[in-house]
Amino acid sequence: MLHVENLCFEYDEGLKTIDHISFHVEKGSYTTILGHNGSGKSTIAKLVIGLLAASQGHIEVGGIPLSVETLNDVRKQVGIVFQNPDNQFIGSTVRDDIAFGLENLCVPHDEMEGIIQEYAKKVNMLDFLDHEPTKLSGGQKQRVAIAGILAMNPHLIILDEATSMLDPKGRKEINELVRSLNQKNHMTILSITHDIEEAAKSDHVILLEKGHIIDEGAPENVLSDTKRIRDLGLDVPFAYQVSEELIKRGIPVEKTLDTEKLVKALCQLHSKM
Amino acid sequence: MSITFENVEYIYGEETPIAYQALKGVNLHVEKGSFTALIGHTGSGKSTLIQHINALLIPSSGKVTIEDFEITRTKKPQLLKPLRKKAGLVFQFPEYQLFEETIEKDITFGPRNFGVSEEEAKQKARECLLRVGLDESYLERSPFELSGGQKRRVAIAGILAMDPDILVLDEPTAGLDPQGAKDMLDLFKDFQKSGKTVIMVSHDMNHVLKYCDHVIVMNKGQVEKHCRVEDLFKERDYLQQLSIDLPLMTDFIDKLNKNGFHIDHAINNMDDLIKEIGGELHE
Repeated sequence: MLHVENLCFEYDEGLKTIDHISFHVEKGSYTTILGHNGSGKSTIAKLVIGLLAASQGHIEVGGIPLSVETLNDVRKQVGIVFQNPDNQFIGSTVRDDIAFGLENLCVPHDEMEGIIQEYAKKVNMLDFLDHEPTKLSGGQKQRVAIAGILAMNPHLIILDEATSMLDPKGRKEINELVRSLNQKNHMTILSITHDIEEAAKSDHVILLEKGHIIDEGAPENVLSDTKRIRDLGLDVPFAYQVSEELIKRGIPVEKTLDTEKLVKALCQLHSKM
Repeated sequence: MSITFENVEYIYGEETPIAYQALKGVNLHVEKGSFTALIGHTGSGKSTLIQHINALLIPSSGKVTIEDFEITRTKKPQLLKPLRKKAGLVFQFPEYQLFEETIEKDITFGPRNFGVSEEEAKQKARECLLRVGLDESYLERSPFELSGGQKRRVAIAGILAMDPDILVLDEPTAGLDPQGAKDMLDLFKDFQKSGKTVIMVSHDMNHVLKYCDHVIVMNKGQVEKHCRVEDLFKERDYLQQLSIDLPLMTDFIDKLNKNGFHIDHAINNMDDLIKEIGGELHE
């Protein structure tokens, strides 16, 4: 779905923000790019949709090589949701906002209302069509932003830290929505995040540090080196931290990402006493 | 500096058709030197409350007292300037408020505004930049070419440069990566340890457990609860009703205790947790 080869980009001369990056996002997959603030994650997203121009390299979306001439064709395939939905609202009502993208795609007016209803329903915002987007809660805003993107029927959705400013409840809602889009609608998802729990549940993880890809693969392989995860400024899942510390104190448990498993193991030890 | 609210009410758009009462009969006393979390749903009045602490909002009725400053409706606004220096308010996404050409100019803007000499303000800028984890090489750079997390640090350095006694923070770690969030919270903890007062709006109960000593729960414009952090996390039903998740650690202790362990519920750090588990297993 997305093919990136030998990509380079610099904001300042000589200071490479993106340094010879190559990766591939499978059609229908849920891929996460994991890295701390300033590792170049968001820059990649902007390069892929042509908001920034690469100094070197090659990007291909759905078989179309990205260039000045193909920019519109590429953008039709890609929907992007940014961290702060406030930067993304155009319309004065939720309905107008979802309609904006459709108008740009020249969707006939009489088809529009049906599409708007369909996607507002999908993100559970049907009751809010006449509300002003800026007056919604963070989770609701982000859902409206996603509905606006979905209505344009992209093949690839890029989430650029789309849940990082939401409260825990809002985050859960969005994560569930995205997961179901991936599983039920087979939409390709590229999520840029520093949420290790989200990365752990994805198909493919790309680990980014200072503009380089330092590792990629299945989450259980990429995330198992806790020292590296810590050095990258990311969180180690709680159960993993506890099991690691217990082992250091000579308590015979196995390293695990799963809290329930750890509780079970400890209770067995306790009952044997 | 202690903070006291007495019967504070606040109405947006008072005496207009769109009048909206955001605070209702708020009574509150925050001790000097405490680190207090402010939690509650969107629209519960948290932001309105914190804007009273440096008199950005003046109560519609009632009285706010910050150490010896009284803020009431009749107080002349120009008398409030010294308070603004003492209580530093950091809004959500403070990086949007950066505006100067260089980071040095941005950080010195606040102190210069309060009459500090240029030399001294520059010295302060250097110190504060280091405190937020950025070195001197950043001074001459433009704040706009930094990453989101770095901008946040610069914005907070700008507040610290005014030498406030109270730091009021509206979700200071939103959007930061885990290490960045930890660095910020450690910084606020150090600020508290130097005898100063911190009030922080947060949604992350893991942060609340680890860093704060008191917690205020806002609901529908009122202070519903004000207690020690460990006491809040004992009230399972109440938390559920507010749809607040337990911190991972408290939840873990809960699960162990349901299965025969007797681990202290108030534990808020990994070392103590591991010691207690080890202790019970070796008894």
